[in-house]
Parts: sequence; structure tokens; C-alpha cells
Amino acid sequence: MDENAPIRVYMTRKLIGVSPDDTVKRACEVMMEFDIGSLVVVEENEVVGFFTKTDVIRRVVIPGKPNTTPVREIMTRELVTVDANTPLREVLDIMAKKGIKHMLVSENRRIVGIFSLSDLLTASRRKLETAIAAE
Amino acid sequence: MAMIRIAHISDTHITGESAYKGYAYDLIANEINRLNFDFVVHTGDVTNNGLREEYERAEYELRKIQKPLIVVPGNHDVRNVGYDLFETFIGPLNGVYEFKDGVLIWVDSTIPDLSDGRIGKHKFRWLKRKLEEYSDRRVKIVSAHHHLVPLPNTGRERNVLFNAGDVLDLLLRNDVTLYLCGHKHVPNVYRVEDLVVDNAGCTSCRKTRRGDVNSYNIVTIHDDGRVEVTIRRVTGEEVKAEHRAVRPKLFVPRGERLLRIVQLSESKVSDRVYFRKKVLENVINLINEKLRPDIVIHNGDVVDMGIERNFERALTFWEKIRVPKLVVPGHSDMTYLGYELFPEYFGEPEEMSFDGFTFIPVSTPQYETEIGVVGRFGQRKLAEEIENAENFRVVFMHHNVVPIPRSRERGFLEDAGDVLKLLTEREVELVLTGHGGNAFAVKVENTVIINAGSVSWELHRNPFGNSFNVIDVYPCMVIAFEVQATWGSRRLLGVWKFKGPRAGAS
Repeated sequence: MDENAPIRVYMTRKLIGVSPDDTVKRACEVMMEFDIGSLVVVEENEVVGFFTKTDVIRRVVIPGKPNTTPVREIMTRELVTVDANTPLREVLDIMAKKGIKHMLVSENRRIVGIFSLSDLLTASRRKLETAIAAE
Repeated sequence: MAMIRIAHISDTHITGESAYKGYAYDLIANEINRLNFDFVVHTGDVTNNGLREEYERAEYELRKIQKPLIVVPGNHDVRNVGYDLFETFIGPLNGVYEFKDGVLIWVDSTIPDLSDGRIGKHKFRWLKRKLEEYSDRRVKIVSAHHHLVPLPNTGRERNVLFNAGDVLDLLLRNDVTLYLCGHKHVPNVYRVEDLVVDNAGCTSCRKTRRGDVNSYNIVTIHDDGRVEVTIRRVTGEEVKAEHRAVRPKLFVPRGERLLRIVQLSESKVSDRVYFRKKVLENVINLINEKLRPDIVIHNGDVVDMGIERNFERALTFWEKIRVPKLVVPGHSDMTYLGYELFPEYFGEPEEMSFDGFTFIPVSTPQYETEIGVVGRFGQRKLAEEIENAENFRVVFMHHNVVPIPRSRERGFLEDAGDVLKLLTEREVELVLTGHGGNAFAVKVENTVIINAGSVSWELHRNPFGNSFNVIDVYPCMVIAFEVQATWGSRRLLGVWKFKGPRAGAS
């Protein structure tokens, strides 16, 4: 892992999501099926919202809302993002300070990736380096 | 912001001998001067043997190009300690060229006195640092002499970068727009995920392939991100390729899963300590109890060595898998008596079709040799099988058609270039391979290529340990995960969209 590398190197650049009109139940099914802890909400090929498993507990289960609630009612609209060129070190610093497990990554004001704690674990095991020869 | 136009020349092989075709060089140099280009890139083999007299002449010839010129060293330039002369007569071996809102980073991939290429530790780190430094550039171009993915019509596939897999991974992770290279005297353009790999043919060397003529490539990078490469031959004939990166890459899954494949490789059953029996048993349990795929595909190296005891043992494991399964032999299956025993125990690889999916096996190993081959007969047969299959086609074989990170690339499939062309030209939906001991997945053109790591053999190259892949096909997308063989945890290898009714149409 190289803490000076821009976050684009370690982010997941293929994002799985749901549409704002999908139900919470459908969203949870997608999360389980693809083994992911968060989803982007997609409208006309743009990310318009985001939510995590914790949000489902906090905004659906505890208030006692039905699982047929559309995703647009529970998603986070104010997205926390970092630029794709931000060094990993700074991203980790922001995540630690804000206490968040997922960070959306943007480029030219569009969401292009996500960096989560599981991406961090993957990054920690991966050296972007060659073992072929010194020269 | 404005459009960027690059003339990409390569392999001029300037010398006083007959290898050099001066009139072809002059023709192309004049055309480059006449047309509108922002700069010119020469991807190496400026001289034929790296000799002083050749460098002296090259210095004179290169001055004919009246545009900014970046020159990358090639394997011929470093012959006879030509690398020192290169710096004297031409310029730095590695460097950075900035233009408008872009950057070109070129790196010396040569090894003195060898034709092979590598970007070893120091150069790799330098390249990585430069990519970090210029991360915010809209257009990022990397250039080296050696090719990154196997090329068609080169005869035997060799001299790709030893660490082509690592370099490819680095370029993809850094969102590099374009890779410019030469070396094999074959013009070609491939799209690997969003990276355009542009190979120039030879500009002025007599040694063209397959009766081809001299050529150069014209690269246009448009404001909207479109990359257009035109192979322009001295005859005036032009071949165009174009790619536009789609960002963001968003996937909204719809519909039921159509197919689940579990892809294994390198079980290497034996009684050696490197064979991890418990891990394989665990994987079989995962397959039967939890994953429940529609089909299991084993990409070869079923046994460690082709002896009776190993095959017997392997078969008892194989029979425990309670879903349809297919297997192709790997190189270690074809050692000793394996040539006879493999078909005896596992049968000849056969095509299978169900629910709109056709699975086409390709047997690639050669007897007691690590390097595989499909061969010209095999390619013809494969082409027919692909063309006769109607729906979603899955071609599976042991050897690699694209370089795998961490492995030492040495042309694992002799004719990988021709096979890759065959598969991508026919737009095969999915290609599964299993050599190199590491999981990796990329889309080349419209074909998704997925390599499986080693499922139960300790001698692998995967930092996540033993693993296998799960590939799920949905009506509009394919998603692949790598599964850790001991713990069952998943890691995303890739997701790709499929357009049209082909994907799983039944």
C-alpha cells in the first residue's frame, strides 16, 4: 500500500446501485446478492444519492418504516466526496475524523468511484510493484 | 482545451544496410510535416544495431521531422552498449513531455543485448511516481518500446514485457488514456478496459510481417475524451479504431441471475506438501452447499504431475462436485503419463450447451512444456465452434491470452496474439483461463477475460492466498468475484455491461 498514491489507484471504479424508486427491500437484496455494504442511487446515469447498511437500520428499521419505502426517502443526498487525485493518506485521515466507512470519489464533479474499508484491506495486501528485476 | 493530434512512428531501423528503407522514412516524415500534428512519438528501434554510425545517421534523419519529437529507446538501440549513444545522439532514455492538458511519460523497457522487455523495480517506481505527480491531467499517455498485450500475426508470441501484467494493472489503476508502443512491426489497436493500447507497425524497416507495408499511426484525442487511432499505411490505406471511456461506470442490476459459473484452476492434486487437501475439500463444500453454481469449470492443472495415483485421487475430489462440470488440461496434467491418463480419467474436453450458453473448451498444453499452443489447426476449429454457437459463448482454456499481474510473462501461449484476435474479433462474450497463479479480469475490446488463481496449490502468486472465481451472468451484465478458498470471503474482480439480446438470450 502506498499512502501517497492518489485514491483513484485503490478505489472501486465500478459502482453497483439502485434507482431512487426501488424499494428498500430491493436495495437490501442487491446488497446481499453482491456482498456490498453500500449502494449508490442512480438516476439518468448520475449518482444522486448514497446509503449504507447502517442507514437502513437507522432510517428504516428503528423508525419502523415498511421495507416497501422507496430508496429516495431514506438515501443521503448530501454526499461526502473527495477528488480522485487526493492521496490515500488524506482520504484515510478524513474517514477517520468523520468516522465513516465509505468515501465517494469524484472527478470533474461526477462520482467515479468509491473507497471503503474493505478496499483499504485489499490495498493493504497489495503492493503496486514489480518483482521482476531491480533495474 | 483542444483536440490533440499525435503522429506515432516506430521501428525505423536506420542503418547503412538494406534493413532500412530510406524512401519509406522520407515519405512518412514529409507527410507528418505536411499534416497537422501537435507532436510526434517514436516508440523505439531508431537504429538497427545501436552502432555509432547508425546513431550519427539517425540524428540527421530525425531532424527531418519538423515537429516536437519524443523518442523512446528500443531493444535494437541498446545493442552494443548503444544506450549510452542514445543519450548522446538522441536524448534521455526516460522522460516526461507535457502538452496542453495532458502528459506523456516514456520509459526505457529494454534489457541490454536481449530482445525481451521489462520495467524493473526502479523504473516501475519512477513511472508510478510520475503517474501520481500527473494524476490530475485529463490525458495521460505512457509509452515504451515493448508491447503490453499479445499481438496477432507475429508468429510466436514473445518479448512482451516480463512484467506486462503489473504494468497493465498500474496503467489501468491510474486511468491512463493511451499506451504507445512498437517492437513487433505489426500495427494494432486494442481497448483494454478504458486503456487504448496503440501498437505502431514499422515505419521504415524492411522486416514487415505477412507481406505488410510500412506504416505509422495517427492518434486523435478529442475534447470529449474520444480516442481515435488510425493505422495509415504508405499505400494510403487506413484502418480506424475508436474508443470513448464511459465514466462513471454504474450498474443497476435488473432481473434474475441467468447463470452462475464457478471457475477453478491449479488444484494440483498430489501427495506433495504444496497440495492443500483441506482447502480443496472446503471449496467443494462451498460449491455444493453455499454457492450452488449452474456449472463448474476447471481451467487445468488438475494434478501436479501426470501420474496414475494423482489422477485417481483427483477424480475422487472431482466426483464430489454435484453440479455439471467441465475441465480442460493444464501443462502439469500433460507430464509423464498424463497425455494418456488425463483423457482416461477426465475424458476429452467437449463442448456443452444449455439455456442459451455454449461452453467451448480449448486444449492448449504441450507435452512436458509449460508454454501452451492452440496452433493453426486449433484456431480454425475454434473459429468454427465460435461461429456455430448462437448465444452467449464461454471459451475456456488453461493458458493466458493476456498478461497476469505478478507472474513473469514469457508468452505463456505461443500463439496468444492470434488467439486473442480470434476471440475479440468474433466478440466472444467470456474467456476463462487458469495459468499464472493469480486472479485477474479485464475486458479486451468486447470480450471479458477472467483468469483464476490457484485453488489448492501453495506455490501461487496471489496475496489473498488460494482462491477461485464466481462469475454471475445477469440479463445486462456479468459480474466476477474472487473467493478466498479458506474463508469464503469475496472480492470484486469486475463488472461489465452487455448490450443487446446476446447476453444470456435463450
